[in-house]
Amino acid sequence: MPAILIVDDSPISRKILRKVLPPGNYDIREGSSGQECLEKYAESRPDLVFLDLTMPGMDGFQTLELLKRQDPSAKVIVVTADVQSGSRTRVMDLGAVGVIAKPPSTEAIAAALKLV
Amino acid sequence: MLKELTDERREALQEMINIGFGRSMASLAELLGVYIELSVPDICAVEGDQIFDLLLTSLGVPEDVSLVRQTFRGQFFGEAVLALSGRAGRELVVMLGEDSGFHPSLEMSQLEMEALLEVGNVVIGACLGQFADLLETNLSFNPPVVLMENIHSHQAREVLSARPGQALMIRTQFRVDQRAVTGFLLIFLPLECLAWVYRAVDHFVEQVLS
Repeated sequence: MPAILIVDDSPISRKILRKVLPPGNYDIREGSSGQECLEKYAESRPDLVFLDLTMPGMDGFQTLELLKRQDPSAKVIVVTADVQSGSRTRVMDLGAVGVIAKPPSTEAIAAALKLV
Repeated sequence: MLKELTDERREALQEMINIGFGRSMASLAELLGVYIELSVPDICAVEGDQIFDLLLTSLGVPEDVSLVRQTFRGQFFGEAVLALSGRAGRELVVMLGEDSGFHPSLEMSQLEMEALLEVGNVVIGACLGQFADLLETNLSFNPPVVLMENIHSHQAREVLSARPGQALMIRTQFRVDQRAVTGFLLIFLPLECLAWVYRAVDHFVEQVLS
């Protein structure tokens, strides 16, 4: 069963992501901050992380950078309202495997899951 | 009406504005050829006469302020204020560059005003347009008002305080990377339209989560 970690400070965004996951069995865990992301990743080593960028405190960029240091093979898909091309370039340079604009569609999430 | 802002509605509103703000900042970044750092929106209830002080606090009590204020109407209504610290218009003129279409005979203050109008249009229009899309409605915008004044001037206080009663204020912050431009987008939704907004937000939540 693929393990997925959803990290977003917005509870409703986490709910939406759960909702648009295509049918299947997943072990889904959630985090509401960059710090929680790092802790929960270290605990469970999920197959895929859906990570928000604009979060209070440690933002998604910092989180991604630290996560890739913790595990260079971590697979991270950024799910964000920040649709600037500069942000996309930055997260891809930091090692994300994809970027999905909010609100996420079932199709975009299904394509991302093929990476697992 | 403000007490009907449940946690779920607040979260949904924050996320919807976050999506709108993200779109508007992407448009602005493209227009200016810059990268923009965004913040998480916050929502609070305000009294009309608190708005001036809130803005002073947000902007860090600068001497000068550049404001674009625009009212909108439709199934919900209110006003948006794009507040930039200092004489941001000058920076914007430089960023927009020589090929921005401004008439060469315009004086600097006119150029600044044009630049602020352009930026205000992009930011306010894109953010509220996306927000309205998510609420499945359309908005009409009145012509924006631009103000470049000392923040303590009578005119600045008048523009920022001319709201009777309570309103819901949604505030987002941004910073243009490597430029001395920071700003806030403030959206005020008066009590009279909140019942409609809450129903539309509830509908959005039902749609995305059912």
